Amino acid sequence: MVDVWLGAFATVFTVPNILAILLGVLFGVFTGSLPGLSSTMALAILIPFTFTMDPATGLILLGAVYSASVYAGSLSAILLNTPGTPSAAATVLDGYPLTRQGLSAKAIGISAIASGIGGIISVIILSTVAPFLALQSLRFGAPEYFALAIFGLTIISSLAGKNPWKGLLAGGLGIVIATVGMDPIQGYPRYTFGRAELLEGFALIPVLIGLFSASQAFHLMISSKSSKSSGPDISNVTGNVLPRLKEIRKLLPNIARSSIIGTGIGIIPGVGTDPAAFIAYNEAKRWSKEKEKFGKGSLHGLAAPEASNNAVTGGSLIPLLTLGIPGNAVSAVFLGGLLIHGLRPGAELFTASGDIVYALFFSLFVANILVIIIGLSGARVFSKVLVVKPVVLGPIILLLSIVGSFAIGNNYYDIWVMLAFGVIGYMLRKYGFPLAPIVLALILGPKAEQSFSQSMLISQNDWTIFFTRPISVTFLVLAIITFITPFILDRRAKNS
Amino acid sequence: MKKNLLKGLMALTLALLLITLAGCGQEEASTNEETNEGGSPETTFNYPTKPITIINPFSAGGPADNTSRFLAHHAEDYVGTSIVVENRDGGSGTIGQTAGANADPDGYTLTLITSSIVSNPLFNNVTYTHESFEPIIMTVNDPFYLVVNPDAPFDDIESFMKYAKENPGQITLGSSGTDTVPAFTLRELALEEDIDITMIPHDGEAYAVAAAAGGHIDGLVGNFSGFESQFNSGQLKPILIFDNERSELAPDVPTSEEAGIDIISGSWRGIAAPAGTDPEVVAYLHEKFKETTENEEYQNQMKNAGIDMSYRGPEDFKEIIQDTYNRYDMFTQE
Amino acid sequence: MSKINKIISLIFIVIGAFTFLWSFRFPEATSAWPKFFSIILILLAVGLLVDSLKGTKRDESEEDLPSLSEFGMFAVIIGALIVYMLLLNIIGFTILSLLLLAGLLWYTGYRNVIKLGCISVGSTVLITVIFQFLLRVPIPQGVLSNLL
Repeated sequence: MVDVWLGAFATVFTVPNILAILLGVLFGVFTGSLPGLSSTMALAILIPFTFTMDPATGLILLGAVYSASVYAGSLSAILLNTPGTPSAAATVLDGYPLTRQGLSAKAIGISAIASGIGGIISVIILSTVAPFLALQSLRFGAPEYFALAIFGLTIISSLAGKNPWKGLLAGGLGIVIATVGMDPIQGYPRYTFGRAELLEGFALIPVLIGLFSASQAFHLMISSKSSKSSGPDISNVTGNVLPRLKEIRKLLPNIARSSIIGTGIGIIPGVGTDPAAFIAYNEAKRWSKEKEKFGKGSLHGLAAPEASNNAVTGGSLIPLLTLGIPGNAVSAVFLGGLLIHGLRPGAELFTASGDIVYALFFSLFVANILVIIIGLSGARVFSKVLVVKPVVLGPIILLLSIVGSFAIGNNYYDIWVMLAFGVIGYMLRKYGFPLAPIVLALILGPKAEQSFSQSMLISQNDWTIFFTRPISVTFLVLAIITFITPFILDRRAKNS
Repeated sequence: MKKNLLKGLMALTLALLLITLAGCGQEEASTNEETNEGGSPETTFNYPTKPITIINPFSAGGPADNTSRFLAHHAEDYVGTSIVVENRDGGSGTIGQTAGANADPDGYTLTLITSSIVSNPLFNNVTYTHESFEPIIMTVNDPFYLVVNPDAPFDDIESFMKYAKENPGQITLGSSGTDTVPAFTLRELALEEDIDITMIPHDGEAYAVAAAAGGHIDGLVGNFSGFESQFNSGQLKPILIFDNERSELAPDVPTSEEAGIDIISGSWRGIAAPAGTDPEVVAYLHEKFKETTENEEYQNQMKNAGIDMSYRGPEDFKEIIQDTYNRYDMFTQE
Repeated sequence: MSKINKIISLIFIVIGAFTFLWSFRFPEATSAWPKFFSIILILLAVGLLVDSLKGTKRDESEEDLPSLSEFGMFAVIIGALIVYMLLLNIIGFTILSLLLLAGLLWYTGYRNVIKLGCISVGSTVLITVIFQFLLRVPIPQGVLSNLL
C-alpha cells in the first residue's frame, strides 16, 4: 500500500502533472464562477485535449477541473446572488447576505476553506473505500450488473429534475437511442438504415459534447436577445479574506459533518451536488445553536453547503471507478475521459492501472489544497471574471465543440453527431427535460442489455437467475421502489 | 469592461494553451527535427514528400489505437515526414478498412490492420478482401490463452476436454466480443474438438476477465496482458496457449501442439498499404518502421501499455494473414 | 407549459411507435430489448400526456410554445452551422471559423466592432494553434492548406 502511494506521489509531482492540476484548477474556477457554464460542460469540452496526454495527466486535469468548478460556483453565489453552478444554489442563502453586510471577502475565504476541506475529506473516503469496493465488484456477475444498471437507470431518472415523467422519458429516450448499432450479443445491426457509420452506435464523446456544450452554447446565444442588460454590477470584494483561526475551529465539526453527508450522497447515483448542498444546509441548521442567524449571513450556513457540494466530487467517483455507474452527469463525462484512454472501471482498474488511479486520488487531494490557496489569494481577481458577458462565450464554446469532436477521431461524421445532439439537448433542456438521464441511459442501457443477454446464456434462459442471487434481487427491489416512490409521494401531496 | 473581458478570455485560452504545451512538449521537439530531416530527401526516389496518414479503423483509445499512435509518433523521425493517425471507426472496422483499401496506392495512406481485415470480408458485405492490403510490417502478435477459474470443475486441458464432452453446453467461456478473434478461436476449438461450449460475449476482454475471476463464468480466451494480474494473484489459471511454443510469461502452460489441438491463434497487428503500392515504397517504409520498432523509447512505451511486440517482415506477415484467412474460411461453410 | 408538454408527449409517442414497428425487421433475439423499451417510452409519454391534460403544474418555468423570434434565431444558427460544415473542406477551418464567430457574435447582438474583431481573430487563431500545431489535429485548411 505504501509504495502505491509513493508511486502516486512521484507521478503527481512531475512538471506536466503539477501544471495540469494548476491549470485545471484555474480553468475550473473560471468556468465554475461564470453563471451559465457548468462543470459538465467544462469537462466535456476538455476531453479532446486530454486525449493526446498521458492517461494520468489527462485524468488529473479532469479531476482538478471537476473539484475547482464545483467550488467556484460559490463565487457568483456570494457576490451576485446567482449560483455559478446549480450546486451552489444553497450557498446563496447565507453567502449573499454576508456580501451585503460588507463581508464578501470573509465569505469567499470561508467558502474556499470549507470547499477544500470537504473535497479533501471526500478524497480520503474515496481512496479508502474505492479499492475495497473494487474488489467487491468481482462478486458482480452478469445478473448483478443487470440489476445494478436497472437500479441506476430508475434512480437517476426519477430523481433528476422537477417532473418525474420528464426524467423517466429522458432516460427512456437514452435507452432507445443506445439501441442504434450492432446488438451486443449477435452483432445484428439495428436502426442503422444501411449506414455503416451507425453500426457501432453513437460515439460517447461527441454525444456528450453536443448535449452539454453545444446545447449550452445555443442557449447562451439565443437567450442573449431577451437579456439585453449590460454586465452585472459587482460589489467590490471588501474585508479580510483570511478568517480567524477561532472561527475556523468553530466551523470544523459542521464542515466535517457536511463533508460526510456530501460524500455519502455523492455515492448514490442520481442525487447529485445540489440536493447534497441543501441537505447539509438543513442539517447544519438543525444542529446549530443560532438557528435564527441562518439565511441572514450565518458562517455555518455558508460552510455547510460548500463543504457538502465539494465532497460530492469524491463520492461520485466511487461507484464510477468501481462499478462503472456514473453518479451524476459530471461523472458520466468523467467516464468518457477514462474510456478514451482504454481504462475500464472495476477491480482491474485498481490493479493493472493502479498507478494511474492512485495518482488521480493524490492529485485530487492536491487540487483541493490549491482550491483553498487560490480561493483565498485570488478572490479579488476572480471576482473580475464575473463581468464577462456569457453571450460572448456562446460562439466560442460552439467552435471549441466543433474542433473538439473532430479532434478525437479526425473525422467529420463526429461533428455532425455532436451538432445533432446539441440540437436535441437544447430543445429538451428548454422544455424542462433533465439531460443527465439521457447520458446515463446511453451508458447503462447497453450495459443492461448485454448483461441481460449474458445472464440468459449462462442460465440457459432461466429467468429466475435474477431472483435467486442476493445482490441482484436487492438491486431489483430497490429499482422498483425508486421507480414508484415519486408517484406515491405525488399522490400523497395531492391528497393532503 | 473591455479589459476584463479580454482578461477572462485570456485566462481560458492561456490555460488551454499551457496545458497542451505541457502535454506535448516532446511532440514539439520532434516537429523541429522533422523539418530538418525533410530538407534532405532521399536521393534514389522521391518519397515521402508530404505527410502520411495511417487510418485506424477502430475508435480512439485502447491497445489497437496505441499500436498505431506509438509507431506513428516515433516513426516520424525515421521516415522523414509527419505521420497522422486518423480514427475512422465504426462497423467493426469496415469503414476505415474500406477507406484504407480504396486509397490511392501512393504510400501516403496506410492502414492499421488486424485480423478483422480477414474476418470482415468473410462475414460482412464489403468491397475489399484481405488481399486488398499490401502488408508492410507486423509489430504486434499476442498469442491467446485458454484461461479458467480455479474453482471450475477442471484444472487442465485434459480434464477440460473430458468435462466438455460429458456436459455439453455447460461450460461458459467469455470472449471480448461477438466477431472478435478470441470468439473465432473458441468456435474453432469447439468445431475441431467436437465439443459444445456456451460462448458469452463481453464488451472487451477486461469484462470477460472480471466475470471469470469472479466465478460467474468458467473461463475465457484472451491475451496474457488482459489477465496478468489475476494470473499473478491466482484468481485465474491459464491451461492452454494457442501457440507452438511455450511462453516465458507462463512457462507451465502447455501449447496447443502439445495438447494435440491444431489451433494457433493470436491477435496480430501491423501496418499495410493499399495493394498495388510501389514495392520500393513498401520496402522503404518497412525499413524505417523496423528501425522505429528498435527505438528504446518506443519499446518502453509499448511495454508500459502492456502490448507484446513481435516483428515480422512483409513476406512473413503476408503468410500469417493468409493462414488466418484459411482458418476463418471454415466458418463460412457452416 | 402544458400545451408544449402535450406536443412533446406526442413526439415521444411517434418515436416510440416508429422504433417499435421497425424492430419487427430484426431477428427475434435482438428485437426484444428495443421492443420492450419502445413500449416503455410510449407508456411514459402517455403518462406525461395524461398528467398534462389533468393540468398538473410540475414545471418551474412557465415557458410555452417557443416564440417565433426564438425559433427563427435557432433556425438561423443551425443553418449557419450547416453551411459552415458543408464549406469546411473547401474554404478551410481558420477562415470559416473566423467568419462564423464574427457572424454569430454580431447576430446575437454584439455591436462593438473592435472587440468583436479581437475576439473572433483571437479565439480562432488560438484554437488553430492549439489543435493544429500542438495537438497535431489535421484540421482542414482548404485554401490556406499550403500556407499553414
